[in-house]
Amino acid sequence: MSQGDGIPLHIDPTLAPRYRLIQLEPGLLELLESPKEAAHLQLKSAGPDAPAFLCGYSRTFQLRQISQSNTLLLLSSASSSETTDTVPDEVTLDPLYVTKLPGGYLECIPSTPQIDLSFVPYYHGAELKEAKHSDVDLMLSRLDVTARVPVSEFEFQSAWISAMGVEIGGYAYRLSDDLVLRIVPTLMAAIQADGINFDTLRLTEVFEAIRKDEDEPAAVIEAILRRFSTCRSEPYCLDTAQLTQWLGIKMLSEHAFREIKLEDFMEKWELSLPPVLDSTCDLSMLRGQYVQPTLNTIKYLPSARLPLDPASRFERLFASKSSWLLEDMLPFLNDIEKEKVKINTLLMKFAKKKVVKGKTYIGKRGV
Amino acid sequence: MPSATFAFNVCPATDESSYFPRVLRTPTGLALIEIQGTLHTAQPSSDSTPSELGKLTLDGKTAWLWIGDHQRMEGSIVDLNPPFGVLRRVTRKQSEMEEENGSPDGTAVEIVEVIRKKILFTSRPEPIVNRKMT
Repeated sequence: MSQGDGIPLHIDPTLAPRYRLIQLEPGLLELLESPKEAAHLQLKSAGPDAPAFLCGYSRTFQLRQISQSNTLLLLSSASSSETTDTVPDEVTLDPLYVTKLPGGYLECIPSTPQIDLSFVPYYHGAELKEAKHSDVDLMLSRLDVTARVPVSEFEFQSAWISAMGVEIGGYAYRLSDDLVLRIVPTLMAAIQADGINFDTLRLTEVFEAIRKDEDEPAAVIEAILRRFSTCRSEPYCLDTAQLTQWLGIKMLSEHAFREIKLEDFMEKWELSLPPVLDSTCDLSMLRGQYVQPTLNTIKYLPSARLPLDPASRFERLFASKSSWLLEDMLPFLNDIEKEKVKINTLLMKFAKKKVVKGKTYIGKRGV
Repeated sequence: MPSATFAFNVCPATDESSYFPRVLRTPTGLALIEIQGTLHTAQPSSDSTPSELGKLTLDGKTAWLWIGDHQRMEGSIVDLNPPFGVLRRVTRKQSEMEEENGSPDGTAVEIVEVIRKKILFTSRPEPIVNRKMT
């Protein structure tokens, strides 16, 4: 093999700024090759210095710059300027154009982002809407809100439904808890009074049934129906367990972080349930939201508000209660369990296990 | 918030004639070379005129990179696992973007190629006796 048989390589400085390399790990390649995902592809970032995310329809990947000392050259059979003047006459092969790719390549890591919609204002009801609109500059449409949250469309939609997001008059809001607590009993009573099946709820029928008693727009009613439904689109099927759980959390959060009598709380929770609901209040529905300092008391302790750092998380948990049953503690650890750090590893590092009469108790280390 | 549309515009593979062995061929003709080390090249004489780097010869899974008349490196074609995508930034006119999807942002990024093999040079350059090109 001699040099004379070789393909001439020419460095084309104009190619470099146009190209970057991205590592296509199997999950990302699958996403790119899926027509449904590909139709929603977008690069998003919360700000110029914030991490960038590649968002498809249902999945999100975080982009990370990987540096490497090796030289990467990209070969192209055509120059950006398409010049052929530099090729000597005696060379019969057309040259290949190469460019040095600076700065390594981009890596994509599957991401399960925490979606923060706290910047979306609350909607407190038609009567209070005008009074609460003091800061008009912060008013955004739903599309603006979507663009501000670097996640896939499906993940955003799930968070939007969960937060009971609505667009009223072109502006995006979250329904306030007070409004939902006021509307839910009226809504349930109206549905029952009109003989509508709770398993096949259509917005037009439900809105017609409730408009006699409520002035709120249809978007508000739909946001509530979607939030407490087993499906995302019509016909909605009421999920009584979800509604019961939501009411339980709201009743508990009213006594934010104060210890109250379990009996009083259960009574209050049961009273909050609309009479038409055939559901029972069970404390297991609120796992990860409370702690029982004693057998007869309960305290609001949402896992979402605890520190993400495992050491601080355990510290907070043991400050609330010195000894936990394993099954009571697990819901507080799920979100800090990483791919390679299993719950057992966390327990061994930050706590100690003790088995008494077949039950596993978790206590503080060194006590 | 900064955002850009992202597209996967990789054409299906073709059997068009190419310099490269079949394993290296890609629809757009883009390929990747990795050199374990730093490549020092002269600054191009003008801002955008391509300058000559050397010559590449391929024989099965073996490759040689000839730099000038006195140095040669031996390399090989290896699998890229996972593969690399080649990203290209496209800045389209605002009017074109609005026509397509109503986005006022003119930035778009697309993957134009998936590269599954690369030519890897891991050895030091070896000196060669100067020969006139045939």
